[in-house]
Amino acid sequence: MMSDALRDGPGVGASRAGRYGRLIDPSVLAELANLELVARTVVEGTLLGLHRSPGFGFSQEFAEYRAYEPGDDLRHVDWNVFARTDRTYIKRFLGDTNNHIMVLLDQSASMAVAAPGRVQKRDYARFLAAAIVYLAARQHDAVGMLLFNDAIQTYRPPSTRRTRVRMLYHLLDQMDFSGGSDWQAPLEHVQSRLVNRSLLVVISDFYTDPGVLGETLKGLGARGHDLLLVHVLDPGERSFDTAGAVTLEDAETGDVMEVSPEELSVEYPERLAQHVEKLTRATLDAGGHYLGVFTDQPLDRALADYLRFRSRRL
Amino acid sequence: MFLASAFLAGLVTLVIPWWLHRLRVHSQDRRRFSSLFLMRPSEAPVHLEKRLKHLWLLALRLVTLVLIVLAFAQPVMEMPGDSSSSALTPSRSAVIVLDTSLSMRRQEVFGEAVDTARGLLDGLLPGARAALVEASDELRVVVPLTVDTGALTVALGRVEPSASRLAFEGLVAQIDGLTSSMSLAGESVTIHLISDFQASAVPARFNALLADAAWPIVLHRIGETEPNWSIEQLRISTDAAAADDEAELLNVDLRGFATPQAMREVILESGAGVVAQRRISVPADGATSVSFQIASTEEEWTVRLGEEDGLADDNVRYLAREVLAPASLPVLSRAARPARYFNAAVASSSPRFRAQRHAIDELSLDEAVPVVALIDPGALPVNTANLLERHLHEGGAVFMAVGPATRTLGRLPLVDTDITANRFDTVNRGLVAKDRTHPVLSGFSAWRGVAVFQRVEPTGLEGARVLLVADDGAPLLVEYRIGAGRLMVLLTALDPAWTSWVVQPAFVEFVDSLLGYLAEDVLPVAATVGEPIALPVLSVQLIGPDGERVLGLSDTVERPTVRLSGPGLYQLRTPGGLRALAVNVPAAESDLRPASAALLARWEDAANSGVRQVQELTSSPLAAVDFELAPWLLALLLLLAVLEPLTANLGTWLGVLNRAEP
Repeated sequence: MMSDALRDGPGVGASRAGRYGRLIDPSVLAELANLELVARTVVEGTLLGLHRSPGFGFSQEFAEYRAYEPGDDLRHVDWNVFARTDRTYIKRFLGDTNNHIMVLLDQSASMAVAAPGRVQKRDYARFLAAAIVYLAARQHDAVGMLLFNDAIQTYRPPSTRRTRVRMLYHLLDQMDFSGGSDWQAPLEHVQSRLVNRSLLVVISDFYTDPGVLGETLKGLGARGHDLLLVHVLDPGERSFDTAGAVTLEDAETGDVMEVSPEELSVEYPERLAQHVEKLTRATLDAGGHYLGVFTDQPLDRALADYLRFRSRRL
Repeated sequence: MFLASAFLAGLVTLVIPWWLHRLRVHSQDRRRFSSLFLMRPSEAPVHLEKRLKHLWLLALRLVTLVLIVLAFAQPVMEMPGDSSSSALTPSRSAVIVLDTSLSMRRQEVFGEAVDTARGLLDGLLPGARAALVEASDELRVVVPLTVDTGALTVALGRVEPSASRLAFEGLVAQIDGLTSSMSLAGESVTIHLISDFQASAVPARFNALLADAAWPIVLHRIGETEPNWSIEQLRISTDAAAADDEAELLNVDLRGFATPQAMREVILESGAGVVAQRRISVPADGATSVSFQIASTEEEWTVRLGEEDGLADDNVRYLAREVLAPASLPVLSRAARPARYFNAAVASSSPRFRAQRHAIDELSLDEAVPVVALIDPGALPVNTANLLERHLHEGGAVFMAVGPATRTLGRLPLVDTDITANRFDTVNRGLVAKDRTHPVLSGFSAWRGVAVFQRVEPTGLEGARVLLVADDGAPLLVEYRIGAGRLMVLLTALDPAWTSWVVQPAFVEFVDSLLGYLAEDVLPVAATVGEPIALPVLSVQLIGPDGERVLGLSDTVERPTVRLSGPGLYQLRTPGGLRALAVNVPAAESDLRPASAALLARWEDAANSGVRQVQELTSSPLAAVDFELAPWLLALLLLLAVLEPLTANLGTWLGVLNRAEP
């Protein structure tokens, strides 16, 4: 089933497209800050401060005692209680936790295609990635980034350092969208490098086999990572305004294909819907979430959907 | 404007560019797309689009096709016949065919025809050529194609109607054949036929009017229906009611065409003047007959109608007959047996001749003898030879058959030619005719069973005409012309030991033809003006009714076929004497009723629809001139042929024609 966002017709929110004129727009981020981001960070974040973590940590705020069980770390035994009562108890504390967020951004050439007058997928993706980075930095989450096409172009592990955040902004600003896209290498790279449970936000147009992608995602989900696939599409990829046959040139490979109007008007939309449905299913199977957006949708709406999915998850 | 409807059907070809401009083998709408991952290629190699492409180019091509179709449809625009428009009209040659048959001899009719022809000449466009042709029993070019209208006008004033017949069957083809002999130099020709168009001259089969028509024809009808009586036929019959067995009747058949019932006076004349005259009633538009008793010895008659009518020439009719008196046929023979075969054949075939056998040296030519027969003469006595040579030089005829005596002599008498004997020991030879048109060989088809066993062969045939040969090519019957006379030599004997001919019926037929030819009995006694007659006799002079010689001796050496131009009683003068020849006008010309206007219109339409478009030669104020648009359309086509590729290439260059879809 195609997601709600992808079901929206072309041009939804197109009038707002003009407000995303800058890579990081403070007004957009201010709007995003008022959403349910707190709930997400309370559950999953490791950063103490603004949001409470749903798990117990080992910070200074005491929470409760419990009986010692074999295997517990002896460093957490309250020896004073043991001296008074001759019983061994373990002290438990409420701790602020930091969320690790890794943004994986597809910088293949297919992301650089858009109909004239519309926001390109690459810009939309960059806005979205920057907003997530901003949000993470504001809430002291460690944020990293991996840029890839048919190879890994840039990898920055999650960090809470302000210089790192500025570097990420700089990377987003200097991205060169070219080549194809290979999903195996970046996901395996992330899987091998990320030790902490992290929120993986993958932004792409996902012109790949959902089955293969799903197998890779399952490995990430099994390691406790939370997955969010943001599927960015141009409205021109959903429907075609043509009365005759069209010769299409693949932006990534340069291949040329002549396509009949029947293919464009009937068969391709059905095939796209099936593709989205497979992506959704593959993501859910991996324990993640799928979020489909069109570039004519407001960016805040996409972020709101993202947070809504997160809150629903929690 | 006239357009050929068959060619206008070519407008359906406009569908072709309209369809082609919707076709696209490869889509010109090229777009950059994110990925073809979800796309499937089109299976159709050719796309039919809903919208037309390259509208300017399409319009140009449609206009080109329309112009091509119109050019083939040969549109013509009727323009007023003034001088300015005629200057633009290509010149068209005119062949003016003037009917000069007997029916055109009517008062006023031929003058009207000449005036019509003059009008056509006056209306000739500058530079146009014209020819003048007479049409009666045959076509005759009076003036070939020329721009000299003065010469044409003068020649027109000299043309006189004839007394012969004009039939329209095949006339168009004859005219086209005549024009092919003219130097047309690529010109187009219009035939103008000026005639009274008698209904009797129109063939029963309409297509015969159109055979091989190659040029447009314009019919100019002259004259009106006039009542006309004519003497249709003269016949001689035996008067059964008369006591005298030799009394004969001359039957005169009268006929009226578009006539009321009327009394007509019939006058019979002979060489002695008017013999009888009688008034009879001729029914309205009908026929009747009247008989006159005539003397059996009279050979020439003239019958006239007393009153004048529409056509005077058919009010007189002539009749001639030959009264053949019995003639003596001397048969000189050394042996009795061959003479008997010959005499028996003469007695069976030609009762006119009385064959009498004489010894070789007993010839006497005191009485007029047309033919002398020499049967195996051998060596001729000098006296006999002299008599025969004189007979020949005076126009007499001799038949000579060889035999054992002549073979022994080794020489042909009278012609002084050596001969060699020849015997067919093992093979019998048949007969082969060398000249089947010869009167003597008229019955040759029945001579197939004749075989020749022996013969003699002349060593030379100088001056001889071989009529019959054996199937090995050796001559058997030869004709010599000696002086004004003729010598016919049979190179086999009248003996069954030499040939089986003498005992077969074919020999009787041969002798009949032979004597008729040698005695000049085969000359005609009746003829029709304009129709060919054969003179199957050598050395004939033809004397006209006015005493003028029509054909001399030298003209009849080859037994010619002649046409006589006027009616009357002619004389055929041969070495054997004078024969009368009655020449009459063609009876069919007497019916002056014209063909219907509808028929003539059909003729004209049918002839012109099958050939090129009719363009009037004349530029008279009443006549319109057709302005042909095809050359201008073709010029415009040439311009479009240049513009079309320019537009296509320019459009591509400017990106107008291959504009990408937004």
